[in-house]
Amino acid sequence: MSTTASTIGATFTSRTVNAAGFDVRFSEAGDGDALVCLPGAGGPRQTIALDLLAASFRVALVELPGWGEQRNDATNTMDALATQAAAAIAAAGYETYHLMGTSLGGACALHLTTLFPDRVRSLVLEAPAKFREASMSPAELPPDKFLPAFRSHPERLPAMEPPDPAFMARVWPLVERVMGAGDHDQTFVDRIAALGHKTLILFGVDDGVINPINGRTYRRQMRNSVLTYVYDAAHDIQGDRPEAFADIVTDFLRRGMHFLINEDDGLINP
Amino acid sequence: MKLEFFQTLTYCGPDHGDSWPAPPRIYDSEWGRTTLEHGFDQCSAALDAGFDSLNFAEHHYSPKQLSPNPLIYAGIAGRRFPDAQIGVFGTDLPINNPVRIAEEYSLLDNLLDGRLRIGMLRGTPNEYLTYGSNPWESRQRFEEATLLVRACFTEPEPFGWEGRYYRFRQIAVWPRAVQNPHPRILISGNSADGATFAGTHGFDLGFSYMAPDKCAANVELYKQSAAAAGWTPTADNIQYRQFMYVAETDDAAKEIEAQYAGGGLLALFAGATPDTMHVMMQIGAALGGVPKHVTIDPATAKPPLVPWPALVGSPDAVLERIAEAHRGIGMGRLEVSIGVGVNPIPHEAAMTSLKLISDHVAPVIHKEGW
Repeated sequence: MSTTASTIGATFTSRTVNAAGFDVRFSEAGDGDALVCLPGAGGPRQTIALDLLAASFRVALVELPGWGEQRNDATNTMDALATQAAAAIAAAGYETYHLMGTSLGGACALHLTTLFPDRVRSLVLEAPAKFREASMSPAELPPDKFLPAFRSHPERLPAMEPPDPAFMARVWPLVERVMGAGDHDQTFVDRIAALGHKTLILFGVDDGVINPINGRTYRRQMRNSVLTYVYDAAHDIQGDRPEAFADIVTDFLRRGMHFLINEDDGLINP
Repeated sequence: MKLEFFQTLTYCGPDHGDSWPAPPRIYDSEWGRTTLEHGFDQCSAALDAGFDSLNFAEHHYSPKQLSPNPLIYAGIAGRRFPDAQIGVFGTDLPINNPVRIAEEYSLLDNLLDGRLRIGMLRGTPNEYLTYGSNPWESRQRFEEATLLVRACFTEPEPFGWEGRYYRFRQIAVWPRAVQNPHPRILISGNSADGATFAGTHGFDLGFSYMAPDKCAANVELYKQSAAAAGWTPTADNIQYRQFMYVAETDDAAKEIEAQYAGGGLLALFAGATPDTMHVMMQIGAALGGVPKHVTIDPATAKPPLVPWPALVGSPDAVLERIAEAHRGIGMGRLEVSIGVGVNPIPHEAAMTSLKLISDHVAPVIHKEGW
């Protein structure tokens, strides 16, 4: 079956759990080890990459508290958001899991891991937005720069839609509160430096939102991490290079740091 | 016996990091250029001291040896010291394109007027992460690639290669090497497979840091396989590589050893975390023939090599150790890097040691009967 906009995410089913005073929606598909995905500031989005990952893992895409129907005017820090997310994930029945975070979700995933290290088996950070040196807030991007900042390949599915003004008006104040100014936070640097989790850090080389140079900070501070640049991809790596994204994430989650070792068969003929 | 100088080009800057790969941010180009200049100074001093060859090797992503392509430095050294024999021991063959390797060595042999000897090696575990090479295929790729390199040197007509791991439909190496049929090729004898392969195909045999009694068993395999192939190796075909640091007294030498020997050989490819250390152990096991599906237990895994202690001491003490090595291995070539391990010692200490080697060690090694 060929991929169309309507088939992306078709295997996922939704349910809602109540935790920390919020109804939190989970979209889930696949079997195997749990891979919990925390989305970016635009909220959860089905992608070809998640479909591919669901072939190997039990993928759970979380709608963070405040991104759904209920407003979230009370959460002011990323630690608080991560605590709420952790409570929701636990309420959904996930005790330990691989954790993947995209952009804002990457920052949230890092906070969650420092707060609840025993729950996280390994960590995947897609263009994480915790450190934002020489970067652009999506809210500050002029309309003609918005799409190229996110996508090198807007022709690939699913199409990148411009943000809905009503959604932005409701969610963006929360985003700004939990993200803060992006100033250097040595206390948090020390927190991630103490983590021993296997971590894969991915940046698109053409990322126009979070400058890929920020990947160096994670790699430098997190001794058990690997930094990989994805060629011909912008901020939305899953959108631009879904097969490549799913390929490296699957290999990393299956083999851990042994994914560094090439085990491809090079035999031409016996 | 011949005495050969292995110039490791160990970065002399203060920060080496603590694991492989070392982050490039800790590299300081002033220290780096000083390292390369000191390298030439030490080569010059080694030749003055009576060393018979200047040798280099390939290593990647590490301050322990600033030598990702040893042919570059070997070429410059060979032109700077026009009477010196030059050895590259060697190329990490399974991670490289063998045809390209043959082309580069052929060119280098021309630049050096036929003064070149070369080594085909499999490399340390970390090298399999350098370009993403499959370590479980290392042995098979190595043997095929070595014979392909030799074919590149010797075939007079354009030819193709339909191998198990390499496929080339057209090969025609220009320039051809000066030496006919090709520069002498050395193979590592640290494994029994390597020793047998070298003997079977008429190559030289080299040992690195292994205890002489362990080497002796593989020397015997080498001789047996050579005999089966119809030739008889001499001592000149066998080389032994070690670290050497000679001081006026044993105590003075031990002081340097205590200061700089930290980490041992494993410092070449130490992982930053238990996870990445496990990766190195898994690759090491793969190179040793452990199949892909067997996951190594870090608690019980054997190190890939238990090295023989470096040749460190007064001239008499070092000569005694060399004699011990010679009794076990029967080598005709002793190749040494000046130091106590993979960490750098101060340039001045290396130069002083070279002078002592010149006065007290080299003349004895060069005597008849060794």
